[in-house]
Amino acid sequence: MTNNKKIIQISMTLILILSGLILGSHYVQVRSETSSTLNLAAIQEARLELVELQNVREELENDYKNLRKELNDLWFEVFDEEDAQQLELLDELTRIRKIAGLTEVKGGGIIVTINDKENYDPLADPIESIIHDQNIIYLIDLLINNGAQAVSINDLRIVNSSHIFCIGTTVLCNNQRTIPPYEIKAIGPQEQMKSALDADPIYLKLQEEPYQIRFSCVPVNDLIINGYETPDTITKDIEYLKIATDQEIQNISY
Amino acid sequence: MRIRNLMVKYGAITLITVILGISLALQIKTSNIASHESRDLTELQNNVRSYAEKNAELNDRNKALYSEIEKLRNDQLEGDINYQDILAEQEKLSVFAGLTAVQNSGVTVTLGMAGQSMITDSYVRLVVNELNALGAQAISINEQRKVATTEIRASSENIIINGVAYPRSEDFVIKAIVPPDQQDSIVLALETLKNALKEQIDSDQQIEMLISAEQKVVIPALNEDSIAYKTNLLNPVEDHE
Repeated sequence: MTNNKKIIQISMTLILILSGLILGSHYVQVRSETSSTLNLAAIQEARLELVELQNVREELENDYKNLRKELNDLWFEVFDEEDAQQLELLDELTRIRKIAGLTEVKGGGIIVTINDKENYDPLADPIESIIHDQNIIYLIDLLINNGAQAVSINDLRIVNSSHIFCIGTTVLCNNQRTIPPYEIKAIGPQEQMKSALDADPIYLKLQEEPYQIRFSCVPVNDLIINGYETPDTITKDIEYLKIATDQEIQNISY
Repeated sequence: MRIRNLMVKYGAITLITVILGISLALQIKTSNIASHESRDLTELQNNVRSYAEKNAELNDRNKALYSEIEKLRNDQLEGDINYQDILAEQEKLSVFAGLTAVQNSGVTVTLGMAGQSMITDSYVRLVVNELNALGAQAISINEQRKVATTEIRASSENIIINGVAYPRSEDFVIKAIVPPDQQDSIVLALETLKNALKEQIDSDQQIEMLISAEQKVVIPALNEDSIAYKTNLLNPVEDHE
């Protein structure tokens, strides 16, 4: 009987301690309710701001297309139609712009979407469960080695001067911050690119336990890839490149 | 009577324990919701920052384009079209696209394998990507200009670069033009990469990397008919699309 009493007393003590903890925690929770309400208000505000910025982006992109067309038409207008040399120069410029990735292009291709593991927990999950710059660079190399002729990451066109690297939890591309999910668009031989991705051992492994990154690859027939969006930075991109003389070129040997 | 008392006591304890369990579960759930909210907010704020930065850049770009149009219109009205502008633009874009040979100070990396081992394409890509991330403005591999769509892939005993095969048993010479004030730090970063690679690879498959800073590096142009410049699958986008 005494034993029973003791057990009951110990149980009651434990229950009371636990109740105390819960009560204390609840008190803290109630106190932080105000900040939680503020949090919800901040989320709502950020969502509205994002929608507004997305609308502005759309307008800016449309404006750019119209201005670019206006400039191209104007050049043809001011040039002498009879002068073949001048027209050739404009055609050459148009061709170089296409080669350099400065124009919007369309064609059959694929959209690859990669994202961190769902509900990634930095304490429990391996670091490979989040997407790093190296994962993106690897994927781009894979696509180019399989015939991709134009590639973009989250609608940022990959050109000769593109540098891709991690800054905290975001990836910087063309000096612009991008966040997951990373949508990589590539125009090229669809089947070849898709087969290469489906059979790639690294991405197959990353989709399995314990990494479980999210990965999808969808062929699209009329895929549109943006032109390089910051042509005004080209001067900086080639700041240290001096044109080589014929003599210097001749001296190159391999 | 005693049995009844005991039953009441045990019943009360059971009830308290159940209530306690439910409160505990609710408490955990509330904490989880709070943590999710906080994560959502950070993600949204990152997104907002990213959009705002990009929009500002796009706005500047449109302004520059608008000024260009205005200038051309004025020149047209005054009958003073400066064709040098378009020639300068052509020259600039030609350098950017890799269609013109360029030179300046830079670094050279000679990549090879000790003994009978053959070099893999991934090492060549690794060095090229590292140079790119370090801010190289022009890169060549065995005098093949590296552009955005340059393929670097192994095929049996060769590595194919811009459609040209180079034997894997021979050294690969990678040249890069880099910002002159960063030349030393770039050499240092490449030395760090070399040491990291040496630690990773088996001792009987040692990688050899010779890194040197150069006063003058010449990077050749890539021929316009190179496979890397193929655009046969790229169609222009019509205005209404």
